[in-house]
Amino acid sequence: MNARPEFLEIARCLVENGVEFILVGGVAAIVQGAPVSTFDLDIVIDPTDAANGARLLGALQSIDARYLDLAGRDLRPTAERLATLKIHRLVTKFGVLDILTAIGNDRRYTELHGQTSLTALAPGLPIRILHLSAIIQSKEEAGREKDRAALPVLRRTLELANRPH
Amino acid sequence: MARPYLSIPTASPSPRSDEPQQVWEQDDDPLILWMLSLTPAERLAAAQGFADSLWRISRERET
Repeated sequence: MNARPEFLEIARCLVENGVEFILVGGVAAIVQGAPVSTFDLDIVIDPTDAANGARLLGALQSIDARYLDLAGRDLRPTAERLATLKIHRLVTKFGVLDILTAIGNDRRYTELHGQTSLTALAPGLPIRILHLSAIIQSKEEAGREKDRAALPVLRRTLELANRPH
Repeated sequence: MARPYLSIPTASPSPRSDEPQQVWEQDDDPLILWMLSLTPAERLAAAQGFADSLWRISRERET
């Protein structure tokens, strides 16, 4: 393991730098009640939004983000990389941050935006989070074994969350 | 207690027929219900606590 994962600090850095992003993956599921475990933060951004890319770059620099490189090279995000690469697996001083441009069947930021809600994960820290139903859909579409393994608990969480009280 | 996410879309994707037969044992529903009784911030804190514990164990093994 590298730096201790600090999910909230990564999110706080992004918000304070004005970055527009959608929280997806394990943390997004956990925040909606799914009892799953994760050690990284997954977000989706719009790589065509250059202004947002600049804000994101500033945020990443402030948390010492570098690409997870098995050869041990010190590779840093740049504006060009943020605009062109589809996936960014970054190690930061607050743990691992995965920046994606699409999930599932190439679902991108603009499409996903309509399936999100703003939720305060701390006072004054609203985060845009992908709905659990959309997380489930993306994992079904991704089809990886580890995604399929998580589906039963995610579906059950959604079912129990939507039961009348 | 306030229940966040009552406005979550109710549409639940149907299981694919070619998926392995993995089902959630309903005996474990109390764990989900406990998570659902927490606020989003509390849920995140629970996940953070778990990650912290594993991180500490991994550090201890390295020393």
